[in-house]
Amino acid sequence: MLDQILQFLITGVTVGSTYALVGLGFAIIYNASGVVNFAQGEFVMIGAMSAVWLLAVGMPFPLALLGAVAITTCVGLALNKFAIEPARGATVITTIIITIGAAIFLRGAALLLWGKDIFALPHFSGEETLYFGSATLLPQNLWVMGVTAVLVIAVRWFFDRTLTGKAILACACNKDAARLMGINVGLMLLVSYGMSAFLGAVAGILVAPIAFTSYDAGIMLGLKGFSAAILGGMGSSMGAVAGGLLLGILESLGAGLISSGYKDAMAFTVVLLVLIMRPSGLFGRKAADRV
Amino acid sequence: MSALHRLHGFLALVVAVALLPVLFPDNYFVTVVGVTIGFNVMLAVALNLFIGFAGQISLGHAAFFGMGAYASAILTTRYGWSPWPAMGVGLVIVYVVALLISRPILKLKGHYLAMATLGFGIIVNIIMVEAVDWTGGPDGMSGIPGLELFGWAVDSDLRWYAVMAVVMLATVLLSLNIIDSRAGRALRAVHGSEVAAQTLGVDTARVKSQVFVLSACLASLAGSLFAHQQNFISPVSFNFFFSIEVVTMVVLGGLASTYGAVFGAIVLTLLPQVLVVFEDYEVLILGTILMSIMIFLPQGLFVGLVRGSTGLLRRLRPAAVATGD
Amino acid sequence: MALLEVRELGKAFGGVAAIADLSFAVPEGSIYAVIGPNGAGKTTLFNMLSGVYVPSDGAIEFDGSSLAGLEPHQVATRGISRTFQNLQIFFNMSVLENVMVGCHQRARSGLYRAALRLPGVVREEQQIRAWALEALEFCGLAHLAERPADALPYGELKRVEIARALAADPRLLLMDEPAAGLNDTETAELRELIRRIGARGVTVLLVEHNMGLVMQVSDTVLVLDYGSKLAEGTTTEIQNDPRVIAAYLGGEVQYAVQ
Repeated sequence: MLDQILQFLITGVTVGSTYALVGLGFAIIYNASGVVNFAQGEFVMIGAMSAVWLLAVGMPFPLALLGAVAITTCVGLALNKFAIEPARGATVITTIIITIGAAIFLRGAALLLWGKDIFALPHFSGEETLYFGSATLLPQNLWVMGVTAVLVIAVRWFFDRTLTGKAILACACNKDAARLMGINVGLMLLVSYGMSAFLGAVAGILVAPIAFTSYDAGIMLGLKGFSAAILGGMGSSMGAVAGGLLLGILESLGAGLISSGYKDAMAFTVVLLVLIMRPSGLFGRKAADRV
Repeated sequence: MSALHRLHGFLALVVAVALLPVLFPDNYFVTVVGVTIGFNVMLAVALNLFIGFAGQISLGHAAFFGMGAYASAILTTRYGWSPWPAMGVGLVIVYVVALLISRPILKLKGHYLAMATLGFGIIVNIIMVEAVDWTGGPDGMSGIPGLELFGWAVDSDLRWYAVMAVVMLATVLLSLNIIDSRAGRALRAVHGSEVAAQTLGVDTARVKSQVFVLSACLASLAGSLFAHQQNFISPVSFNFFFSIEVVTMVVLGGLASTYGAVFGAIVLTLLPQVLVVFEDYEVLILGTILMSIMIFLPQGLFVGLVRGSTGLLRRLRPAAVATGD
Repeated sequence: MALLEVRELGKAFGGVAAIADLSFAVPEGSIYAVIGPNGAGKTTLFNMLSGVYVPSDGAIEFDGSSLAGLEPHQVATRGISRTFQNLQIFFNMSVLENVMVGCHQRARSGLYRAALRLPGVVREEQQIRAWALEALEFCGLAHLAERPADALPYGELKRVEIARALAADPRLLLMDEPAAGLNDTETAELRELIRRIGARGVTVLLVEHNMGLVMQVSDTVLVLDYGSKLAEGTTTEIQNDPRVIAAYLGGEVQYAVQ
């Protein structure tokens, strides 16, 4: 029984790492612009699909991965430039529809380019099963956890220690004040979209060997990433990471111990319960209306 | 004056709905697509009360549509009930569920509310897929009986058109009645400034809950009718995407305008029918259209077009407008 | 007799006291002003009186009964109405509709009756319209009734808020810095409006920075400093109170007296 739980935890942390990266992407964009980007999941799909495509056209493996990340980051920048920037000042619900429109567009483009088939990337370093106590894991699981950890630390460092990171946070606090301090708000938004597309692409590429990918794989991942960000408390990037890991673990335990069909339902039920008890998420600050 | 104004628009809608099948008899587009439009208008107008007027967000309204449909389907096919009581029971179930979740969920705001309603919708949809013994699972349920009204069987496309026309127009009238009333102003006040509304005696928590429940009940009614009209239902008709589609109808038409919601529902029902000719490009184009409308006409198509045309008129006839003011 | 009685009221935000041990009474039919520098706790006081904030300590009694535990909308139905320092206009409605929301608690018909437009609803609607028009007329805004609220300039919106609060037919009207942002002409009009509101029998509790206005309309003035009472008295008493002059008013009093 305990061994089984250990196994579920390994799966949970692997899946949760993807959610964490997607959630982190949500949090970064939300922090910089107050927009919830429902196209976030499509970054994950595009990262994985374009890596598959670059490999298929004969690019060497490492180069294909880098190329895929670069393509996705460009898509993120383009999204900001052509869909978000022109709609500045739109209401919450309008921006939700715009980003959903963008998600549909990207999905349509992927469908055109790559068709409806399901693809997988080769494992990064073999498929030899490793033993961890009595639980098993693949080298790819370690890749997912390891790279996620490195990225999370890097993002943390970026926002805590670099001037650009601080400038992005300043945009979140008060756009006008940031502008008056000489911060190029437009550029900071661009950087944040690029970053979250980058994170999404990496997440997509990391799990593609285990979880496969197809043109419509981005939707559920996007929703899970959003759940992770909300669970952690919108705007808290480390909260989003914690939320993602928690969600992954809950799902995996739910699937293993109760029912695999209901695993998503259980994850969302937990999110609902958390929201009802803590309306601004686990690590979010309570917003007060000033009258 | 505003009362007269309101009636004019509604009468025009009634005439248009009545004339269409006369002008285009036996037309697939009018009868079959018309019925689909009827369902979508009902859903959009109902959701518009909650989103457009009260300023809230729901990304899970398809759940209520589905609950109504499944209540009707399960009670008629598995227990041999006749459609009307089944529809009533569906309504009661949705009423109770919506009421129970409304208080805790509607305390949330903005993206948190979006998440909660989205989560609720997905949970309900998963139950439809997984509770195979009850719902038939992903394959859905078939053999749902049609409707009969006092011995008049609703058994042709045209008859369904008539039924949906009446129900849809009733929903529109209901919405128009609410908006220009004490309760409707309270709703809009919640949108404008919740604190101000409270200090003027509006129990905002109650108002939000009431309109959420009403909107859910209308969706349930639409769902029951949908089940009887299609004779077959499956979970895909009630998933997250459909919730988003209904929200899109509301936003596309123009928030806080009943006719905007009607217009949005019509456009979004017709659009895929038209885009079919683009085959593989369909999804791409749909996404592009959605984005463009929201970027360039953030107030929605209906409001945008009405403002645009009055602006044009004003430019064309400056003298007439000046004296008219 | 006191219409509003505040006893040992306190409010702390995360350990910092915004209001501490504050007691005062507002006699029925009077115009009572609360003054004090920014951050003295005036708006916090208003938010507690209207039920938006829950006091940390003390009691608020209105017309002999406690307001403890009441939601803002319940406070409103007791007969307390307010305006806001930062405009809280319903920008999605016309001026008339804004004021009609003010009549909310004077009418009854609910969502479902309205949906079916039962006969009583139409009658009540006419009554609400009449009340709202009367309030607009009283505030000199009748000619703007059909205009969308977002088309009005700031000064007129401030008066719309007053009309909206009056449409609730309150016994006590809380006015949060009604003169802020107004020019001299508008301020003079406001002064007359406040006097007429008082003459109508409505008790007014006024928070204001414009000393001229306060000294001209108030029966009693309360001076707040760092959340506590510094002084209370008639306008003359306040103007001559050395503590007030030292702590806060200074030259401004001289200006106001001229």
